[in-house]
Amino acid sequence: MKILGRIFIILAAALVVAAATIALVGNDTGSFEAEAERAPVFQEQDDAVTAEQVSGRPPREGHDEASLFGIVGVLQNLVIISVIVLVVRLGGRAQRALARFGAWRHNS
Amino acid sequence: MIQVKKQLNQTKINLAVDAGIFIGFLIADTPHFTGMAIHEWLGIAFAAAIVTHLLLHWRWVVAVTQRFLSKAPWQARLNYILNLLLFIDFTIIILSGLMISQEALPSLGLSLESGGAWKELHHLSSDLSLALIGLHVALHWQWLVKAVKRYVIQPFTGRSTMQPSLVTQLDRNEV
Repeated sequence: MKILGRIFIILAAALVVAAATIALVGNDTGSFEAEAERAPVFQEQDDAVTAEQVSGRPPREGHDEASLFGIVGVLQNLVIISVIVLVVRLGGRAQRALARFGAWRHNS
Repeated sequence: MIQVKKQLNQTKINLAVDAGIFIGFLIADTPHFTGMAIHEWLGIAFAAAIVTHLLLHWRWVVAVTQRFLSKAPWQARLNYILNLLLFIDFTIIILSGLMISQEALPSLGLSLESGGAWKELHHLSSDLSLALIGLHVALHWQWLVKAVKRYVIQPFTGRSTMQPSLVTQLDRNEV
């Protein structure tokens, strides 16, 4: 029961964030239709009626299929996170070293 | 003795859950690697993972929330603000992901008509999450190193690299 209450609080907080986001972004539905109107050449070239055109969904971006080369992206993210961790850790050490140096100068 | 054992188990659970969330995040953040369907379902599963993570650290969340404006140390305040930003960011990622879903929601018979703003927001919040995760890991680095030494390296090497008193304090160092 206690856990259910906690889950409810977390979901309520998420709902507040979601509601604020929807209020800020609004009901954005027209962008893709506008883009399609701006680039009619590509639509005219393709005679076949695709599932996207039928459903009114935007054309897909080309990364629907899994690719082993995508592991590069995983490694890239890992490197970015490692660099951030390294910078923060080194920054913390430098700050402590400076504080020790300041104290040493003050004493001497 | 039972209390110490409980704390050790708690640290082990935290380490396992956090490692799972981290690896899941790395994989889910690259749709080129997983394909769109797995990317979306992993993203939805991520919501459950975040709830689990928060439930495991509930005492810390409550304690710092109560002391935030009065006597919490600045590290705890910084950590709290960072975690709050992470929560907001992940909520936005999941929400915007649902709004632009091409596989998961349509497979459930749901379809949301949304435009480019949601896509932009999804990419932007996803990029931001990378930086926030980096800061989150950096702030918990000492706990992470100690826990990995204790539960990952030590069982293989067979010798203790930590004093017992430090092991029992792993949970408290999390803050």
